[in-house]
This record gives sequence, C-alpha cells and structure tokens, in this order.
Amino acid sequence: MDRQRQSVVKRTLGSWVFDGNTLLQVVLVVVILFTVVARIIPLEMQKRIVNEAIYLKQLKLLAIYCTLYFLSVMTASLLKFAINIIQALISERATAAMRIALFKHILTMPLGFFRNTQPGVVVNSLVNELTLPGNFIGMAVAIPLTNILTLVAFAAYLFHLNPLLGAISFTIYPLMVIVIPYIQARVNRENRERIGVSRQLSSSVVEAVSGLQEVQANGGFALANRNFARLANALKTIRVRWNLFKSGVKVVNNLVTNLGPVIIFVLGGYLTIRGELELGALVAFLSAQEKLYDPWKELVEFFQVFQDGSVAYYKTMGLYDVPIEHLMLPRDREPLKLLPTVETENLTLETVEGIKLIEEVTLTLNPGEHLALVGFSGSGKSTLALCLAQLLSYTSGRASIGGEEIRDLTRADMVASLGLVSQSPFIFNGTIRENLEYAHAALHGQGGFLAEKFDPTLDDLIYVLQQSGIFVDVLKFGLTTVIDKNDKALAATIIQVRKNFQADFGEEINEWVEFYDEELYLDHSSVGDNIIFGTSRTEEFNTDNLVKNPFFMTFIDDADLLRPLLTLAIKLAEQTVDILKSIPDEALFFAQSPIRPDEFDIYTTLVQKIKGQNLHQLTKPQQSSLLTLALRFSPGRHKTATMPEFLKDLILEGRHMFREKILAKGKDAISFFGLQDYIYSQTILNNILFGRTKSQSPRIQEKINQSIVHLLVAEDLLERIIEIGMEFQVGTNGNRLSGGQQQKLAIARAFLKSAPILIMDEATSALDNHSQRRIQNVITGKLKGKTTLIAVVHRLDYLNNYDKIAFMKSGKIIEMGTYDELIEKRGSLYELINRH
Amino acid sequence: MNSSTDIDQNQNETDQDKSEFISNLSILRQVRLFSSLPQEALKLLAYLSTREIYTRGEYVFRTGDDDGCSYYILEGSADLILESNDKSTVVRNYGQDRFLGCLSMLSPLPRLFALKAAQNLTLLVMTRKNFSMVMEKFPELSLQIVKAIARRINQSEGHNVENYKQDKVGITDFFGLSMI
Repeated sequence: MDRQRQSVVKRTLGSWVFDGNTLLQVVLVVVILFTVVARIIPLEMQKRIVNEAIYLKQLKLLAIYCTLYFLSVMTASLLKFAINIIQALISERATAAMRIALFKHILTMPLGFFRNTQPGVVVNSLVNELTLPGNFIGMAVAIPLTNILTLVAFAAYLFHLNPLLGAISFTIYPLMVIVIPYIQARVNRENRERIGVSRQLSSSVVEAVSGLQEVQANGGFALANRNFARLANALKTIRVRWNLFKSGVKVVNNLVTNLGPVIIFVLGGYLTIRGELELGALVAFLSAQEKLYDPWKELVEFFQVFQDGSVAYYKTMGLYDVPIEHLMLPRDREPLKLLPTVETENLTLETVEGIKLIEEVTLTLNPGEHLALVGFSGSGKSTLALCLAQLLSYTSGRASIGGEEIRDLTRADMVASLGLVSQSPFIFNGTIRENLEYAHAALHGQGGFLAEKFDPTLDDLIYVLQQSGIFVDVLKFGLTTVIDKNDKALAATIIQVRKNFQADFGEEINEWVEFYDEELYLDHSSVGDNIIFGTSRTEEFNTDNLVKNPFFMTFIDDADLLRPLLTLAIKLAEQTVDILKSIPDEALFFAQSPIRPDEFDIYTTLVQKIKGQNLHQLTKPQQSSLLTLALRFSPGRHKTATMPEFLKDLILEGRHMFREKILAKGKDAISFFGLQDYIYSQTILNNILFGRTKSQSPRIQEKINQSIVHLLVAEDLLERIIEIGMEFQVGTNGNRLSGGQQQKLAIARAFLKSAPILIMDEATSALDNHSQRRIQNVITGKLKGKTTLIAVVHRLDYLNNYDKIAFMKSGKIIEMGTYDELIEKRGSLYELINRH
Repeated sequence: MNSSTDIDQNQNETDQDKSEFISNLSILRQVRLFSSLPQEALKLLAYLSTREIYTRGEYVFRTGDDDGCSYYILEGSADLILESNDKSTVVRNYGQDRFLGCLSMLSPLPRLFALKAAQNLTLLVMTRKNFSMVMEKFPELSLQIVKAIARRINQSEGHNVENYKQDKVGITDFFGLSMI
C-alpha cells in the first residue's frame, strides 16, 4: 500500500519485479523447475542408449529410451516457449505500469519544468527509455533462475558421473565468457571510430563537391586530394583493425566450442579405455559440454541488460524527480467552494538567478470586480496572472482566493473556482464539442472533481458559441458536412431551404456561386462530375471506379474524349509533380492538387516513364492512371493546367450522350442532379446552393452564409446544423482551426465552465476588432458583478469597462485605480494612451 | 521570358495558353522580395496563391484586422485609407503590379490602415498560413526574406530622407511603411 503513496520517481527498479506480477512470477518459477528437469533427462537417456540399449543390443530398450529422449526434448522446447511468453508478458506489463505511473506524475509537475524540457525528451522517456528496464523486469526472475538451476543440475549430474571430467567441463566456458566480452568491447570501440571517420570523409566529399568551382578556379586539386587521401587512409586502417577484432571474436568462439570436445575426448577417452568411465557417460559428457554454453552466455547477457536497464531507469526517473508543488485532490473532502475574492500582499516571484519577475504586488479584488492588468511586454502582467492561477509559484508574500492561501490549495480547489484562457490556448485533437466541454467535463463529467454530474444542454453550448463569436465558424463547419444517406428527414428540409434560397438570393449570389445547370460547363466541379452530372447509386459509377467501369470507358471512347483528356492529364501530372517534388509527403500542400499524397510516387514514376512518348504508346494501366487524374480535374480549383474551350464543349455534349446511354440501358445507376433531389455525395452547403462556391475565401463564404442563416432559422434548422458543425474534427493541436478560431473556442470553453473567477491572459489577441468588441460586451454586460475577472490586456480600447486598472512595470504595480482616476492623475497610463 | 512586357500581356494570354500557375509564377518572380528565392520555393508559392475579385468600394481589409494575407494587384487599383473615429482619409492609391502587405506574412499584425477597392480589383492573394508552410520546407527562406525586408525599410526611409532634404516632405509620405 505504501507503494501507492510513494512517488513513482522514487521507486527502485527492483520494486517493479513483483508489483502486480507476483502470480505470473510464481507460475514462471514452477515452469522453470520443470524445464530444468526436462533438460537433464536427455543426458541420462544418451548414456543409457549407449550403455544399455546399444551395448546390450536391446531394441526394445532403444525404443523406450529414444521415446523418452524425444518426449523430454519436446517438453523442454514447449516449456521454453511458455517461459518466453510469460517473460514477455511480465516485461510488457511492467513497462506499461511504469509508463502509466510516470505519465500520471508528469502531468502534475510544475510548468516551470517544461520550459527547460522539450516535449521530445518526455516522449522519449515514456516511449523508448522505459523499454529496456521493462525487459529487465521480464528477465529478472526467469533468466538467472533458469540458467543457474540448469548449470547446478548439469554440474551435479556430471560430477556424479565423473568428478574430474565434470570439473574440467565447467572451466572451459567461464574462461570464454570473460575473454569474449573484452574483445567485443574493442570491436565496439573500433566501430565507433569507424563511424566518426566515415562522417569526416563524407563531409570532405561534400565540401569538395559543393566548392568545386573554387577548387577548379584556383587549381586547389592537390590540397583537396591530400585531404581526402588522409581520411581515406585513416578509414582503411580503422577498418582493418575493426575486421581483425571482429573475426577475433568469431575465432575465439569457434576455438573454445571445438576445443571442448577435444579435451573431453583426450581425457574421457583415456578414462574410458582404462575402464574408469562408461562409454555412455562419455557420450553424455560430450553432449552436456555443448549444452553448457547457452546458460553461461545468457547469464552474461542478463547482467548486461541489468546494467543498461538500471542506468536507463534511474536516469529517466531522476529526470522527473522534481517536487510536486500541489496535491491533486483534497483528501476526504469535496473541493472548497471559495468566495471569489482575490487578495495579494507583497507578492514576489524571484527566479533562481535573482531576477524579480513580479515584486511586492499588493491588490484586492472583491467578488464580481473586473481588473485589467496593463503594461509593456515583460512587465510581469502574465506572470502575475499565472501566479494567481497557481500555475507559477510565487517565492514570497501572500496570495489568496476567498481567504485561502493559493499555495496551500489543491489543484482540485483551484480548478473548481477558476477559469483560465491563456495567450495561446491549447486545442486538443477531437471535435469542437469535445474541446468546448473540456473544462466543464473536468468538473462535472465522469471522474470529474465535483460530485454533481451533468452534461451541458445544447442551448448552453449554442449560447457560449454565440458569446465567443465562434458560432459563425461552427455554422460554416456544419454547412460543409456531408450528411448520412439515411437522414431523409434532414435532406427534405434542406431541399426546402434550397427552394427558398433560389427564390430569395438566386440573382444576388450569382457572382459567387456556380449553380448546377444542365446546359453549362461547371468550372468548379470536376470533369467526372461534369460528365455524369449526378450522383452514383452503385459502386461502379463512383468517381474512383469510373476508369475500371467498361460501360463508362466505352462511352469515353464514343464521345471522343479519351485523347483530349489524356493530353490534359499529362500536362496536369507533369506540372503537379514538378511543383510538389520537393515536398512529396506534406498532405497540406496537396489540397489544391488533383494528385493525392499517397499517389504521388505513382505519378512521379508515370511522368518519368511517359516522357517523350506519344499518346498511342501509353499502356492501359498508364491510361487509367492518367484518366483518373483528368476526371478529378476542375479548372476552378486546380491552377496548374488550363481547360481548352473545345474540350468543355465536347464534355458538355458528352454529358447529354451519357445520360441518354444510361437511360437507354434502363439502369438506375445514377441519380442526376435535379432541383427536387438531395445530392448525398455533397455538402449541405452545396445542396442548399444547388451549386458550388467559386471561391474559398472567407469573405465570400461569409456573404453566402449570411444569406443562408435566415433561411435556416425559418426552417428551424439552425440548431441542427450547429450540432453537426460541433462534430467538426479540429485536427492535431487544433491545426484545422485558425488562430482566431482557436482563441474563440478557448473563450467559449471558459464561458461554458463559468467558474466564479476568470483569468484572461491576452485572450483576444488574435481576434479582429469586431470579435474583440463582441467579447468585451459579453464580459462587461454579463459577467460584471458576477464573475471576478483578471484580464491581461494588450489593447487599451476597452479599459474604461474595468473596475480597476493596474499598470505594471518591471514586475511592480506602479499605479492602480479606476480609469477616470488614472487619467486624471496624468501618470503612466495617461501617457501610454496618449502616445497612441 | 521575364521581360516586363511579358507581364503586361499576361491578362490576354492567361485564359488561353498559360495556366494560372504559370502566370502567377512569372508575376512572383518580378516581386523584388521574392526575386532571390530558389525556383522550387517560388513554384510552391505560385501554386498556393489564389485570385480574388473585389467590386469597387469593397474593403480588402479594415483597420485592426489581421487578415494574414499579402496582395499583388493584377488589375484595378486600391486606396489605402487612414480610418479615424469620425473621418477617413485616402493616403495613397496603389495601382496595377503593386505588391502589398508582405510584413503580415511573417507575423500576425493588426492593420493600421484600411484597403478599399478604388475600381474593380483583381488580386493575387497569398496567405500567411501557406507562406509559412513553404518557409518550413525551405528554412533558409526566412533569412532571405528578413534581409529583403531590411533592405526595403532602409530604402523607404532613405527615400523619405531625400524628400525631406528637398523640402518636399508631407507627413503622409511616411505612411504606409507597414504595407511593404
């Protein structure tokens, strides 16, 4: 139980051996005991086969002994297999347990630690460094026990047969396990040197080649040659030595393994001839001698793993052995419900180097009061805010929330009373909704700090989305979602919105939207969509399957589209490959390309192969690949090739021909675009527009969205679209959101949590004027008098909305008061404002 | 190939023979800031740039916005406007072939001016996001860009100093430095 309380970084490596694995280790010991017995039996059988069965010419005995021999060998192998499995199981369990415990510890470590520690180091510790100690834990019981027992059992058996020969058999290998590691160490050393010199050699080649102009211009051939020759010779010498030692290991290995039998034959043969040793015993000795090698080797290796493992373990744990400043959960009580007053007295934070980041700060903030911290960057505003959030530790003075010293509060107490929006908020991989509910869930969700569990309602969510201004973004995400094929009711409502939209805005929005029109070539749809002008109902007419579809391919031929499309595709492939060849694995760059990242290599090869070839020389697979590309091409989106006018006309003609052919075939394969039909393969937005937007620019998108919102409200669809939009996946680190969207999401997150105290650390720095004003209005209008606010302010526009303003300079508050007081005083704030 | 007459013909040629990418490329090559960049990087930038159309009177950005874009005027002209509480003053008119807003490629910055289409305006737009993606791939770019900007600031200031010496200076000449 004590182990539970003890910090993971203080534990010894040995303490993990039986932790949670006791039963497995016991099973392992039992299996090992059986294994050792199963290993001895073959020796005894060999002896008996020679001495009894062969010598006495007893076939029956031979059969019995051989069967036993066979069974014991089989058993030993199976048991060894079992040992390996159990060992691996123990080692993986131990590694996982260590990882989990260490991760839990790392999450609670002071933030200061991570300013000096790269995330990569932590990743390495958790992912790589603990593997070796884990391996050791797996071996800790199995390897020494198996091998020592095996050696003891062999020794006992051989001594029992003949003490002298037994003693000699046992001395050969220990010699070897001492000599070989020594030579191996030399091999490793030479190898390191070899790598070092190889690197120097490479860089001298690089230097000579990249500076070749200078070499040739100045005739510096001799110098470059001398330099290279010196390194090449040094490398030669080292490689010779390296090879020498490498073969040395092999030779010694061979020698000892082969020397053993010689000694046994010399001495054992002599003893057998003298009649002091049975022939069968000699055979047993020969066989045992060979088998003694493995246990010795494994023991040496085990020792090595133990050394490496414990070094890695204590190094890793030592790295994180930093005192934890605050307890996680209060013991035996609910988190405190603190009165949202904030007080500090002579609060100071001094770094180890003696720099005072904040100095003698004294302030009082009553419940519901709003404080703005103003000052130049580096004046300590953010540091002060983070101290009050318990994220940085102050070194002297007092700071309290509701009269309780912040330093002594647990994390849970703080989390329950305080919301924080930081300068660069972190958005986690997942949906908008998950990110929005993140802080709320930590309090009220499963495993949350508070006993009272509840999920926020949709109304709550929408309310905070509106307040933070991210509502329009979420709406956009919702509108660009492709809905499920089975959601017929939603589809029907969207069709209704489409009709109203066409009636109300059709004319106005014409400039930005390309409507689906049977008689027009659509620049913003793909060639494939332009031909089919509908959505496939069957697999074979899906865009990616078209080139494998014989019906479609016959059509392409009949419509005279094959050659012009191939020509287009070749241009497209050549250009795209040329542009993207330096960054082939970066998915973000492929957004505007008809080639997908995973296909890039295929098209690169293709472009090389068909260089200089004529269309008729293309193979079928090459034609298919190219045609796939051509069918994806949409001139409005892909800028690397142009669409000739004649081809547009040809395709337009083809569209009608294709429809005729499909209808003639009597198949229901395609649902053609029609004003009455929902297009399930496309986004909600495209369905409402019954077309595609011509530009991806946010300005245009917003214009269109504005006209759509009213219609959505009229059809009672807005909430539903927002709900769909909240399922948008934000990507790793929220990288699918803009900086502004991330900040708005973080603000919405804090609003949803609605803690009694809110700290905003330049929380709106990435937002435009309009969004900042909206959020300031919410703060002043809805939070004043209810939520205590400490805001680090980067712009001076809204200062008069705050109850108090503290102007900071070099860590100190140099003036504090209401806006009017400070302006009247004509001090630093007055100066700052009027300088602008 | 890269003569300035070539650029003037772009408008006619684009639709027929040249892809938008090729004409973007030859435009960017003319922008002084990018002229020293390696061909590979320039191609990526040309590929990632988009065209936007603004009707006369429409704002490209407003004061305080962080639009995160730089603009090359392909067609039309735009007014740089100083907005204050009660009135707006046109500081300058930028015409065809001007490249504006390169500073916002490097860092989020609030605009100190507004830019408004004086005539129907076609712009070649590059976003900071795309630009930084290319910078990540060509780390040596950032240094070249910083150097180019330093040169540009020095030139601008030098220009202003010259004007001042000749007593030609008006306060608005100093305006618009952030639009380099």
